[in-house]
Amino acid sequence: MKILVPVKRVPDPATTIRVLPDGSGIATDNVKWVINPFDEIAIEEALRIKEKQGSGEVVLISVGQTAWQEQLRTGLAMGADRAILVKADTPLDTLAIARAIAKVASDEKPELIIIGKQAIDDDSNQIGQMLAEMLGWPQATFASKVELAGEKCTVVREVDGGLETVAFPMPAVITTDLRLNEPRYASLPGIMKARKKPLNEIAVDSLGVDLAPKLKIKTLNAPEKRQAGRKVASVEELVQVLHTEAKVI
Amino acid sequence: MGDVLVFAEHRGGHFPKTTLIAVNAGLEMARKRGGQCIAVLSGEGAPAAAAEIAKYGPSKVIVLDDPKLAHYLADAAAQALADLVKKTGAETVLATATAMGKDLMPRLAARLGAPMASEIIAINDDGTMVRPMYAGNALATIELDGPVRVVTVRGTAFDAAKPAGGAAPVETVTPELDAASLKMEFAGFNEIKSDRPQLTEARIVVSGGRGLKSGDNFKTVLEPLVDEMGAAMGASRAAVDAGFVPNDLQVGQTGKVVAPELYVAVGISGAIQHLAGMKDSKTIVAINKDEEAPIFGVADYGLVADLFKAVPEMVEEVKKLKH
Amino acid sequence: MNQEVTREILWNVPTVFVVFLYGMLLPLTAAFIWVGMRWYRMIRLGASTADNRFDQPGRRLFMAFRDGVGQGFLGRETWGWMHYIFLVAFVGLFIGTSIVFVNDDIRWFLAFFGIHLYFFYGDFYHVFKAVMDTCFLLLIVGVIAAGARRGLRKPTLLNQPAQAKLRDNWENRAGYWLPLTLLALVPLTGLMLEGARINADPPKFVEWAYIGRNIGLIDGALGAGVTFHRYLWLFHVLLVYGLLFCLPFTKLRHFLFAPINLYFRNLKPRGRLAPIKDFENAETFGVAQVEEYSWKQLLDMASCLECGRCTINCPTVNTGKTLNPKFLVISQREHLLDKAPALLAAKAASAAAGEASADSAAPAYAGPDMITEVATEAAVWGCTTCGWCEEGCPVGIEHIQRIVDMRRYLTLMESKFPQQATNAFKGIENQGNPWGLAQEKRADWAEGLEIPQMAEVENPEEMDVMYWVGCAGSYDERNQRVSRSFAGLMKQAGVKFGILGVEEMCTGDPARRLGNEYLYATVAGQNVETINKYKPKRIVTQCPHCFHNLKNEYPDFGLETVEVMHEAEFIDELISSGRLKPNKPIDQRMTYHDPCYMARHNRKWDGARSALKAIPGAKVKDIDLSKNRTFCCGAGGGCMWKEEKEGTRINQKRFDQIAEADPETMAVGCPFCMTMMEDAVKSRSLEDKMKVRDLSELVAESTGANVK
Repeated sequence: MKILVPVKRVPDPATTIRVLPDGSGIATDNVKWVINPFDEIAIEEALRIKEKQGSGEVVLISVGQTAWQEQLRTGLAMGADRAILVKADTPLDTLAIARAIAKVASDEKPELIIIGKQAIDDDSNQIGQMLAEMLGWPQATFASKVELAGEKCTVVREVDGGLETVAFPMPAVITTDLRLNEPRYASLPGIMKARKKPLNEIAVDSLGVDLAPKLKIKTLNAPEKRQAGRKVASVEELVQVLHTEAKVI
Repeated sequence: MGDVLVFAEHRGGHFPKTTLIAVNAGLEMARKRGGQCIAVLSGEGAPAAAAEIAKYGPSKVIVLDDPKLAHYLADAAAQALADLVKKTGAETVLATATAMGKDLMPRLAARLGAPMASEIIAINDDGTMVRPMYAGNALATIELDGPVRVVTVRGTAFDAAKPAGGAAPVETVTPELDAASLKMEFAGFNEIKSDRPQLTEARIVVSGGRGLKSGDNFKTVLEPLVDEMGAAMGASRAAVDAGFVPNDLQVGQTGKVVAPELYVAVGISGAIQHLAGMKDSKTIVAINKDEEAPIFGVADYGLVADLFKAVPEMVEEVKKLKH
Repeated sequence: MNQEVTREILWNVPTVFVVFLYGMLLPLTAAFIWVGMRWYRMIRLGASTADNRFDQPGRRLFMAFRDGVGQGFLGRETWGWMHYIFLVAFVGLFIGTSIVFVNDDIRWFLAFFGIHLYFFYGDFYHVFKAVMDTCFLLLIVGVIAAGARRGLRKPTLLNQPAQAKLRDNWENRAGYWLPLTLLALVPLTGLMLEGARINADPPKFVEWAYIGRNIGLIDGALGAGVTFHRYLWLFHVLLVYGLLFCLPFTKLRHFLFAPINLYFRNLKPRGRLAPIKDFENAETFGVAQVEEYSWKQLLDMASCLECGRCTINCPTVNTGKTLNPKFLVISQREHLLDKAPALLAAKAASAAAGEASADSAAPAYAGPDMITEVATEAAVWGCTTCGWCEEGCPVGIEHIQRIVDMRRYLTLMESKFPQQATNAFKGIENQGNPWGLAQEKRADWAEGLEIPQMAEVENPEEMDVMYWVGCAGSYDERNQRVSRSFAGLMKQAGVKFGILGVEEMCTGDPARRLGNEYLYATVAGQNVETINKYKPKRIVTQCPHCFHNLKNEYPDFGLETVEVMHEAEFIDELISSGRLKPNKPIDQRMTYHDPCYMARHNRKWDGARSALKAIPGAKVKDIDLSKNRTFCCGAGGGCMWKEEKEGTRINQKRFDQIAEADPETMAVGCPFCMTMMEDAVKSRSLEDKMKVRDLSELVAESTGANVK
């Protein structure tokens, strides 16, 4: 079975994000880049399916700049077979990215696309669902358990107040939630082998899809600085500030 | 015109508070875009829920009627809503960013070829919207181009709609569905009965440390607060080591990593292995009798007090707040 | 001198017995050669050692002699005296036999060459008799003591691994009881023989044979005569040969292997791990098959005498965990013996097939898997690398590398390690610290202290000290206070020092001890580059693990020569040179908990003590398990980064040992000891009675250093 896993390069979650003073973006000078953690779970799930079935191919795809190769190589080190980098020198909006991936997917014809439920940079949570619609495939978002039987796929989804089970024939799109699995740590032979695995680059313009940006980020602002911690005098005051100031209860 | 379709989520005719939040956000959007707010429902029990929603201020309520929509499934719902967008000529489709809203709206956006803004927290007068990025470390002001736009709103950022007096008309529409293309099937729903949310998913986590002094005190002192706040219960490694609570409650480097909206650390000194497991929480509260405890270094609100006095008081205060 | 004062050698022994006596030397020699060759071929199955073990022959010989023949190790432990008795008596009897040999058997042979050696008479004979009797007596006393200890006292260190781990053969079944019994019967029959001779042959010159003489009287009373003596002689000789055959075939072989193993021992600092030299071309990393160990590691297995000293203060053995260093070595030795025939056959086959197919012959072996079944993963991951086992071992077995080699295989090849370690690895990889906290916050602890960062200093090489803060000192709130105290002390003493700030990264210690050598090599390389850039004169660390890595392991990664010091030594230096003056009294009972990586691995424990004693009012008292005998806090070897699920907790065990001394303050010199001991104090609910404080905090309080 062929499984396509879209992968995004994001800042390490531990990195402190600083908005640039002019609001044009975030400071990237000290940022360590990693695979989006949810995509890592997606890679792991794809690898587990392949290992369980004893055969198949796990193909990674990214839509981004040359530097994204680093994360694709990390995914290859985990065990993916090959990678495709759709090169786009300027950032694209979710709709354009989904169209680019959908185009590659229609050529690659995978039986499954597994993708993280959201990227931890823009927190959009859109690509998987968009891909499913563009390809006319069923979707299962927020998967916490995936079972395959023949052509059929059964997925347990984490929804509000419980677990929902949906079933559908493949091909399909699955988006991963946190509890689906624990991604593996690449072994050293995996890292060595990854250097030689194929990584193809395709220019995004050559795909012939509509890339016109429809979602524009006008400015980026730092949120109001989290108030420096302070001591409260009484329980009454504590509950009051939690209610009125922090608005968490 | 800037009409707004609000996807009104419900389960068997009962709708959660988040649906009223969507209605309210829809009303605000419609007001700012000079259009009407139309609530849309589908599925089993929709007519009953529609009659109820109608009282909360929308101009109109539409029930999408098709057997394929009995149970919510993303592919059918997206087709039905897209069809309705065409039929009504609405400008914005809006839902709360619940599991269902997040599942459906991007698919709808793709079907409509429309841009989508996820989890917005504000609607500006000029049509732009504000949404958090980078886990809330940046707030983006965004603009969506095109005749149709899709939006989900963050539940905590908007108030719920209030009864407006009177009721809007309820209309039933049969959407055009391409039945052959619908391949998804609903195979069951397993409601989590537990009164307490999962540690890693809870909106509020209340954790206890060595300061509680015994496993019994976790039950008699901490648990009432946990339950009163609808929180999940956690513990520090020291408390687990001391055998007060089982290891699956451990929050920290070697336990579970949590990032709730509110984290209350009770009698926890704040060793780094614990901090590593909760430092990303949005608001951190520390209750400890040791003024020097490192936990106060990361807490937004610190209370230096004897927890055996403070915690029961807090239960009472939270209770008051609810009534 | 009276040549009459002597005895006839081989008196009353028929020729056929004499022929037997000398004839048996042949099979004995053959047995020694056969066993020697067998072990030699097995040990040669091993890979080459990472370090040269043939260098410094003089030093090696001296140390092998000192610790092998001189028993340098044993004197440190209880019951060492018993082994001393064995050795003294055994060597005494061996010399005695040699004297007889020289004076009788080869006397005529030597005379042929004009060498006249005969001195077995007169006063010498008297003394000889007395010494021999004493040796017999000592040996009997030693055996009784050994037997009582083994049979009645049953100390846990003599426990054996589960029967399933031992091959079912006569050696294992006989255990130590066969050699021990023979060791008792040989001197007993020796004495009886002497008595029988004195009784049967009219007593001449036996005044000094103070035991034999009296046995002779008993024999006389019982009516024993010449025949009794003759057959007793034969019985005695049989027993002696029995004992001699035990030397190569039973656990007594340590008598031969121990000095050899001590000769080839690790001369590098204890706890230093050998680097993997070539990541690019090697096909496997670490050790999964017994033959992948180095020949020295196989020699270790052959040399183990199963005394159990490695277990006495082993943190895992003492808290009921799977890992038992003695069981590990024994199980692996049994596994080697089990697998060796297949390995040797494969080696012979590939040698026969010639160079071309040298690596084609895989051994046909269907026995257990070494890591998962022989050693078990629980044991492999249990080790805290505290080094007690190597401290205790009298024959120079290197346990830590043996365990880390298996971890390397599991981590690098199979990516199989305790799940929580993933966070530590990724944290080190992405943010340069095992907690995964933001790298850019590394110097936040120093905010407002005006500590220069090396990158901002104009002439960094002119700094007296590069202060290596470490991850705990940089990020852990509790240990940040220690960093501020230590920095305050250096400021007060007028030391010109700087920190690397955000340029500093984890030394990689947790990754290395957990087998992730690849990650370690990466961060070590980066750190070395950073440090070399600034050419520091001296690096002072707060963390013993950082100290050990910088001092003993980074040179393998290209660190240029630099003096590395731990805070304890440096503070002591500042006090003794008068630059720090502790004058505010701290009237408290204190005990210093030695960090393993300072005391045991690097033999440094005086600095901390003299610094503490310089504080007026401080009453510093050591417990038995301190200095090089310190007991692990449970955090080392990467164990800080994984759950401790088995048995009881190591930190509590250690805490209880210290609490015995009833100190008001437990002084520590390691951030991880700090964390573990503070946790232990809390879990024993003694927060109000005992404080855990770092050495530098205590000294800073006394000197009044400005600590923000």
